[in-house]
Amino acid sequence: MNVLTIDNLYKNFGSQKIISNLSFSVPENTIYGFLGQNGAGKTTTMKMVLGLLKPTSGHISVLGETVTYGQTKTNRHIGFLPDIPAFYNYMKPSEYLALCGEITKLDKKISKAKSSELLSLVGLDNANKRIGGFSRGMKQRLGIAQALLNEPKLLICDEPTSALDPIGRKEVLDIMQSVRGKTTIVFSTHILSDVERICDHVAVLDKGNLVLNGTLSELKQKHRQDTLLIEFRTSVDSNRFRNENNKFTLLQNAELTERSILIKSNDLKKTLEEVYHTIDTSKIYPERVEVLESTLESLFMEVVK
Amino acid sequence: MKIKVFLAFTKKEFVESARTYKLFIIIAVFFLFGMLNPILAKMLPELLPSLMPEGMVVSLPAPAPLDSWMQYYKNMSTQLILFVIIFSGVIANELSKGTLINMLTKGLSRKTIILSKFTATTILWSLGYLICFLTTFAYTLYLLPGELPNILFSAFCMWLFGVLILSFMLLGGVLFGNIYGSLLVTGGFAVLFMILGIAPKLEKYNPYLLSSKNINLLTSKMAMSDFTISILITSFLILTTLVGSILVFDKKQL
Repeated sequence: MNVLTIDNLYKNFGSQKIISNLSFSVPENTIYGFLGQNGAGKTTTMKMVLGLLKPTSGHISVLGETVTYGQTKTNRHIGFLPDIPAFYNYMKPSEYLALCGEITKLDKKISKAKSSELLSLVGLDNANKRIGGFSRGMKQRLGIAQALLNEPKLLICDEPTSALDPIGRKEVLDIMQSVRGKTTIVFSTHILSDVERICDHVAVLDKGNLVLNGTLSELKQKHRQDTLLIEFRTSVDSNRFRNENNKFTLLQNAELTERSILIKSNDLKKTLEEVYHTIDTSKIYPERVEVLESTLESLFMEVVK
Repeated sequence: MKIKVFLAFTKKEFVESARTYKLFIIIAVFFLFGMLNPILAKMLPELLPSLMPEGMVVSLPAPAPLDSWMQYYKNMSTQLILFVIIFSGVIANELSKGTLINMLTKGLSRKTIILSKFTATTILWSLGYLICFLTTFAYTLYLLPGELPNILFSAFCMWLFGVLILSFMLLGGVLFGNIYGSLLVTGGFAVLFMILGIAPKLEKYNPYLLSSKNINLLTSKMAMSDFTISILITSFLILTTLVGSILVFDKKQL
């Protein structure tokens, strides 16, 4: 079953087209990575799902219910973590979660139990001070706690890791990882390593269009293009090897740096043959010859041009 | 169930005003002015001669309770402006900082937000107003004993005008989403009423009457019935501004 379905979505701000003809659906219990450069329309799309922005045209549904702009009932299924979550600085985290509980009409006892459970999940159970004194990372973690309070079927996170240091990022990703299976997560980011770490589905948005969509392994398989890395001990070796190689077509698709050569190839076997033949004849021995797996980064660069 | 959510969010507004010290500032300022009104009225005739150049003789009538209430209404406009400046961010700040996003995406209705904020600011305004009124009333009775007609009614008129100003403040915040917009709309309406106040024929319809002719009630120059139309129009304007704020907020992209 699909938790979120977006159909032919368009959004213009004045004459500026932000989203055009966007359609995709998010299956249950996946972690859906929503990728794109800054300004690609990720936040706009998420805000439309939450009824905070009005789509120019198109249809959005959450668990089969249509999202309406403004007051929308579908928000009861959703937990949202904004890119920079803003809290009432004069409150303590437990007070803030209590307020959230009252607003979502949770029973007081359940709300209290749930909030202390979540605070320990995000590692804030000992942070009994006002939110105003929190660091960015702590606020982000509190943001996750508030988003999970009403046990949402769908958790939407807008760039949850972008503003954090490596430790903060790892913590946030771990928390998201830990609720996998209980809730479906859609999260936007432009940090590719985060996606590779926890996502199973990926969609790439570019200039308001979906340019890539599928499971991570599927995408890597489909867009497979092998890259061969040859690294030398010195630049002298590298240069000599290049000159040796000039007679081959090998270097036509290569990226050269001081000590290494990157060769993109559609026929790996033939390329390897050529490379090893050159090594054999020239007696220039590289330090490393490695077949690089296609990465999300190369994929991303390829589709976002 | 809905009323619980309304109460929870209204409570949050009070917690906010207490923890950001707004509540205490309001209580202190309104209490101080309350004390000051009768004192100024009592002292002015004694102070004035010493401020005048030597040889100039000023003869002032002995201070009366009316003088204290003249101070009260003169100073209350200042207090109202101060109140608006302190609370101008009540909705504007939440919109510009984005603190409402978490609340809205949890299903808090936009109508509830407006009604909660209107209720909370009106209660705070009433509290400050009552403190100032009671202090002035009691201290005037002590320093300058005497009786005046329509004291309560006159005070009510000024209070109601204050509520109207607060509703403009909310509308401005919703429309522009920042403090400046909030102050601009409030100030704009206040100036509009003052300009309309120039035309004597319009006077009885003008909400400005409620804050400018209070003394005429105390001296019996005007009767309570002279204020009826203005009170009705003001109440109607409060209601429309409130409904308008809700409608604007419902359509606002956040």
